Amino acid sequence: MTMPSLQTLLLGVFVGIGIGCVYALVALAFNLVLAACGVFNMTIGGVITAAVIGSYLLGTKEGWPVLLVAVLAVLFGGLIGAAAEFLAVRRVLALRPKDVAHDTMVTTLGLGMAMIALAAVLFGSETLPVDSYVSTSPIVVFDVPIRPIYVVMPVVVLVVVVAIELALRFTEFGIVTRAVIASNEGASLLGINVNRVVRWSFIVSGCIAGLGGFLIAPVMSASALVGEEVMLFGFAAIALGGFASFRGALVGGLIVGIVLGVLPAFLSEPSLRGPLVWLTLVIVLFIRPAGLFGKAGQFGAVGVREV
Amino acid sequence: MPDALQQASGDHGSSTVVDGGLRVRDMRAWYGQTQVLFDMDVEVHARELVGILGHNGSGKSTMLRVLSGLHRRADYEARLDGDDLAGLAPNVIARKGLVLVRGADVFDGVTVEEHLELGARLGRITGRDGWDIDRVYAEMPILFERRKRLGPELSGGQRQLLALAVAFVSNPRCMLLDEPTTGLDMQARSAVADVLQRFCEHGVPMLVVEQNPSWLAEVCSRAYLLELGRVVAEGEPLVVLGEQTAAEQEAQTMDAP
Repeated sequence: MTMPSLQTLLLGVFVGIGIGCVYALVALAFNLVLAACGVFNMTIGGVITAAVIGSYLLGTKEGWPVLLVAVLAVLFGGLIGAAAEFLAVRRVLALRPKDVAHDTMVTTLGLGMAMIALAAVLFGSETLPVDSYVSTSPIVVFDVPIRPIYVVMPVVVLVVVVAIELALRFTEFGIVTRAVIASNEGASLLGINVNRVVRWSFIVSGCIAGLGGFLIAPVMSASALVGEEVMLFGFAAIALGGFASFRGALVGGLIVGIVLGVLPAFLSEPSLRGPLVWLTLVIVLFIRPAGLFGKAGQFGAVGVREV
Repeated sequence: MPDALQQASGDHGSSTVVDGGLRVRDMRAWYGQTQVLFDMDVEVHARELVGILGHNGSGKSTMLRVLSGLHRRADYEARLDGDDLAGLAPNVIARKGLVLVRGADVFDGVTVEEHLELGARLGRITGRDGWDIDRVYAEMPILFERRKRLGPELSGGQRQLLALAVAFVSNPRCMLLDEPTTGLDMQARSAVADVLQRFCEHGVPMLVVEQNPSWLAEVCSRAYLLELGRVVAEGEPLVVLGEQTAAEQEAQTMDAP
């Protein structure tokens, strides 16, 4: 291990915040659905793969406008979210309303893996670089050259997070959603159509995952497996931050990102990054089993409430 | 009370008169394979506050869960002013004007005022007017004081009051109340009794499940006594209570050597 210079360290922090914001977005996509109905939406990995490969095929190869590619990624994610709710969740909820968490984890994971397998069949096993959606000439901050993409990512994520927060806080649908999050049963007694709110949580979750895939594509390169990797780090982020917690998703994502960004400065062997992130996770969970902002008993959402 | 409010309450009386009440026939319910309710017949007329008495496990709360659509393993007939409610989903039943009030249903992460907005939203869906949020604040000033507070920041009594207020602003056609005085002191109990009786005057039939018999006797005009999922007595609360006590004494004498 070598001691890195301050510049290298700062660069690592900036890069980490950039990708950490995207992991936070992925974690938010998870937690939105988890909070609304106690289901792990494992199709997120498939959506991210599709968004990254789509960015390569449409953006890099075909040269479509960046904004159009972004909008398509978001819309496609929303479509998959709606499909996931319809195919993998609604029927399971209707059949076995008590054991939702485990059954739907399998059904949504199956759907996500089917998407990834389809991507592998269509796209092959190649790993191809995706062009950046902004200029690649670095901006210099504190003598540290930063690629503009690492500035764009946090800004976009911040806008999305603030928009979701405002919608939840100040719109009627936001109040309805918070009631559903607090108690499905109590909300239904107030005439709220819980299924409709759950469906929208899946759609928004898919949209957010699609945006995350688009944002991180130039950093990750396009391959069939990219979605799974990003999803796993997003998963680490919610485990760190706390299941079903919004603040937890943001903090957890940033921690995972910064650990991933700073570690290369200390490591001669970059492949150790992954294991070290998981080690951090294990340490945090030893100290706070529910994650930093999670409530005790919320793990796996079985304890969030009896769905 | 300010003039405007008196005006509002006057309007209310005429706008929400309910002709019929709630009629439940042959209610049977199961948990898994075990039958817990047996052929229960219960009726609540307009302007009537009816109590349900019984020990733990007698089926009081299950009955309310079945009626509100939360417990689906059941077979029964239920009509609210002619509307068939049996077997519908909970949110559909709520939209038909039958609301279940439980202090435990105060939401985390939702303020007092937002709770009332959710109630008013249900009222807009059912299309009935009468009580609004201002009326609640005038009648229950403590909720006005606490309007920016979140559910978990309220005391037990304030939660019960809020659950009632949410139901009131939805202007229901019938109310089911599950132990509205649990965890309340004497003063809060009589406050709840008072507000319930006043709302009942508007013609809204109410069915109250309650552990506290003397409170029930004071508030209700009629009561049913449940035992092991069956209606075993019906009538004046005090008479029904007497039967319960007599039955218990008998049971005790039988137990004695």
